[in-house]
Amino acid sequence: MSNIKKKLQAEISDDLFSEMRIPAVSAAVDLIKKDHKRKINLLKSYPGILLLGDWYDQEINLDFFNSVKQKLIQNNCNAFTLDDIRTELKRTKKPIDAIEIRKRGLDNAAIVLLVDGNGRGTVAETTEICNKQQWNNKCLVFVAEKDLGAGEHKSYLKRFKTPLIYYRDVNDLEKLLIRHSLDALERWLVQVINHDK
Amino acid sequence: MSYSELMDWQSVFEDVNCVRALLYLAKYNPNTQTMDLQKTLSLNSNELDVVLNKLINAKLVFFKDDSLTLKDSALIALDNFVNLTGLTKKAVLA
Repeated sequence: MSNIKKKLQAEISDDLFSEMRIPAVSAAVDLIKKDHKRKINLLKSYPGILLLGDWYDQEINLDFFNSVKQKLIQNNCNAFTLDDIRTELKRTKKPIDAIEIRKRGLDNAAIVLLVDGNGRGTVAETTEICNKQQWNNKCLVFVAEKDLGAGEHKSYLKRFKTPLIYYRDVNDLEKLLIRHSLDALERWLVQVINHDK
Repeated sequence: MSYSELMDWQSVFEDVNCVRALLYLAKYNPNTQTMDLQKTLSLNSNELDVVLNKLINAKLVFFKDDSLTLKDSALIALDNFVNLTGLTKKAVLA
């Protein structure tokens, strides 16, 4: 930190504070405003984050996923659930098929945040995801700490390519989902900006 | 960083007087008197209030006994700003 401080102190000349230099500062501020606008526009093209998991837990339910989604959207991070795809398909009056909905969500998402559950379909769904490399590669899996060492009935978790992320409780899970989403968004943004250069 | 914090930072770095104040504080920290800041940047009382409110809301400074000290996060952000805009280079060349 002291290096940054020394560097800035050396770079900033006293004449920069004079009123005559206001146009120079103003031009720099305009550059930042332009850069910010460009980033906001780029963010609009972000494919989005799929929040996936059982909705039938007492705490980790559809309301929970929707609340995380809203917080991400407020942070300019596009996010959606399979329920959003279902609603969209209903609107277009196309036939609704659970497998097609899941496939569309997994295909469209930039990354998938999968919260492991104990519902009946969990094993079948995760097997389907793990079997397709393209989906498995973009999946981050969140597992309750109480399920650590859960044994054979959670053996399907071993098939995921990314390291499992453990959470203590629902509050911890929310923080982790938001942090990992924003980190992924930032990585995507850097990649796109570098690609544009 | 939450969305509201991000917006607070944005309002600082999109305000010419705030950026001038950050530059001054980076040069003359720690414990810079607000009166010195006001005098050097030729700010009127209203302008100074706006600058102080924005810097404090964005949690970029410590404010105590009428003096300001930049937080480390502010130094990093200002350094990024300077690198991105080339502001200090322009000032030297101009």
